[in-house]
Amino acid sequence: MEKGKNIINKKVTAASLLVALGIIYGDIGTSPLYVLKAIVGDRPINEMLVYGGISCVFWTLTFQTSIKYIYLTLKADNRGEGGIFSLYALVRRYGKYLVIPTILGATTLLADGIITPPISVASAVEGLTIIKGLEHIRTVPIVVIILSVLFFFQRFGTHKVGSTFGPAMLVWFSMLSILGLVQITNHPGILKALNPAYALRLLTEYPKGFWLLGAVFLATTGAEALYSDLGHCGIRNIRITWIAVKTCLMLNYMGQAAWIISLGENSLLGRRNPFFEIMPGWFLIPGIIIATTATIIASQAMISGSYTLISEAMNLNFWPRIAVRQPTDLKGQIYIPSVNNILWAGCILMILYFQSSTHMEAAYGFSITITMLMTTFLLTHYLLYRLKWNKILVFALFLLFTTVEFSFFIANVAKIRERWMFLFFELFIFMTMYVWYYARKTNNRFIKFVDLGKYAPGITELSKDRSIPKYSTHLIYLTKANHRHEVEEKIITSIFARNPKRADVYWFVHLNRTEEPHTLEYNVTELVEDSVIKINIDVGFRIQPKTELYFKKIIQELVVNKELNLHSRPDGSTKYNTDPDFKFVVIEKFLSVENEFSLREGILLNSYFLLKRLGQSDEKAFGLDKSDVIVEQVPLVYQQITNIELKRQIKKLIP
Amino acid sequence: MEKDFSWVLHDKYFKLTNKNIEVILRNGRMVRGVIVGFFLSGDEGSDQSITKWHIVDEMDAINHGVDGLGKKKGEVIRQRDISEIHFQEDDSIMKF
Repeated sequence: MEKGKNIINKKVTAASLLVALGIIYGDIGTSPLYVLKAIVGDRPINEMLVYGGISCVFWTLTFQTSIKYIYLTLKADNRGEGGIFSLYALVRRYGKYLVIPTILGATTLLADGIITPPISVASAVEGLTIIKGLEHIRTVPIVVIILSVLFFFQRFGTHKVGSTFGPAMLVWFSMLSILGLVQITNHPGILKALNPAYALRLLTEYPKGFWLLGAVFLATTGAEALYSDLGHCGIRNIRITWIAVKTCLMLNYMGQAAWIISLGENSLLGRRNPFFEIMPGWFLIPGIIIATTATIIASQAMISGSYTLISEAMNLNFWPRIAVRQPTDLKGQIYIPSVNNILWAGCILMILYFQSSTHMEAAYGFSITITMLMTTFLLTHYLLYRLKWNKILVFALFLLFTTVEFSFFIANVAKIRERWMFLFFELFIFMTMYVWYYARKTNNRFIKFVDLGKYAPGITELSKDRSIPKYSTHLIYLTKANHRHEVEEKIITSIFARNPKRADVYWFVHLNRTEEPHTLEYNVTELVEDSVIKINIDVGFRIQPKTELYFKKIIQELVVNKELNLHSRPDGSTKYNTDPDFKFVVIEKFLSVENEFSLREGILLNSYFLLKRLGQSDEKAFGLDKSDVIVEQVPLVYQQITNIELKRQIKKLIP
Repeated sequence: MEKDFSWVLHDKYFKLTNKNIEVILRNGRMVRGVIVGFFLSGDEGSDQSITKWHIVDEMDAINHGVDGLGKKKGEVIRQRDISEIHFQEDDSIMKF
């Protein structure tokens, strides 16, 4: 399957290019709806502003998108997959501190994702207000309806409409370039704006020109998505389509600029959006429909991207386990109800709070600058340690991109005022990831492992001891022990303590999350033939584990290969039912009252167990059927309270 | 990547038949006994290393070195505190 996937990724066909166009360019491709409007704003129109703005957009797309993402970052593919977590999985062994930039990058990517659908859809729908007779139409309810329908249909998957995304985006990009070209022919002088000198003049000579970078940055906010969607399209398809996409985008940006310049020196743009103004009157309605469709596709990409991001975060232990569904048989297509609900609520709140795309422009982009800075930091490690590039070259690239991105960050800081409510959302995501990751680490440090080989004879003896009632034919424990001959102490306690659990075969199953995205392999070690068996299953971080299914498949393979005998044991229980029964034992931990914590540890661990309660149960997360699972509660003692002064009262006997 | 010596000790120790060892700590103290368990660093996947070892007297090794009330017998020593280990089985010494 993995091989097949890579072959598809390497192939470049008209169909694969069309798929790439439909999946990855929604965000960056719909930026012309609002970028130039945001740059000019209510400033008087002049050559320095308009030419400088276009020059900034062009060079931003060149540096940030073409060089950083299309050329450099796409190199960091993790078995064909991209995105900040894939990058982290590639470099995490080179520094424990890399966790923080990863969490920060993922947090900010998710946070700004909430504003992408409302700003895009609102920008498109607001086009209606320039149609005669619709000048006063209320666009907010329309945006709310479109977004609500979009989020509602997520549960059914996108397999039926997905095939139309590519052609729809092809129509969109064709429209962008044709509309732009018409305007450029009226004012060919706009081509001069590609000269970087205009960008430099705008930033250094125009009053408060540097702060315009906050608006310019909107042109490249979708660049991170190119990397996140690497797995869907493949590097060559992305690189080839980008040439066409960038050309279409620049033609449209320059066309809009040409129209703005034609308004005359010192005139004002007012409430007009140059994107719609360059459309001929007869084309307005079809143009708005095409634009709205493109923004819906862009929103869809953002929603799917958020599911993938959270799913990867769960598999890399950055996020509590939550329900993940597969709406279709399509590989990799997932639907996460809780994320869907949060995103829907967030998007609706955004449009209700900001009311228009213009207000959203003033809040959009800040978080993405942080994501990009974090990606640069992780990418530097990849180039340095994995690709072993020259240190000076890597440092120079790091310096270049950090300078560019830090400038954008500073220019976007002013937006915090407009987006203060995001800080709560960002803090919530960041703290969830931070608490989950570090508390789990703390938790892991207190798990004691023992030599399974030492207990194997005792387990065999118990298995044959008929004086003890049989607990199950097959007893399966999920273990965290990576090595073949070890299990957790609590598992041994569970087998022998209280009522010993007698079974014919004891299985110890370990799920190992690999740094590769799509691995699904296993190995079997028989510690005692046919009675104590350890299974290690390697599961890629993009795969939702289905332990019971894997386990039963492994059993089938062992039986077919005559390595395991399921029915040979003579036992009273098989007289009426010859089928072997499987019982999974899941050991759930809870914080013991005997603990004594420092403030940080106390907050961290209590928050962790609270999140655990809110999230999915262990048996569901491991893909186990409830009927086959026994859940045992085990108290966790990290640091026992030691200074207890308990005095015995000596009662005098009354004579 | 630095070699993780905790796993070198792990691999050698769990192949021994005579599991009695003498551990010399960096502060000069000596601990005698057998290893009944170990604790890993919090990292998951390939980054794990053994951070602590649970050592008990050979007589206390049953029930993985835990008494009837769940209290650990013996002592838990940190990998980084170990200076050297003397293995009784082959009379060899592993220095850290």
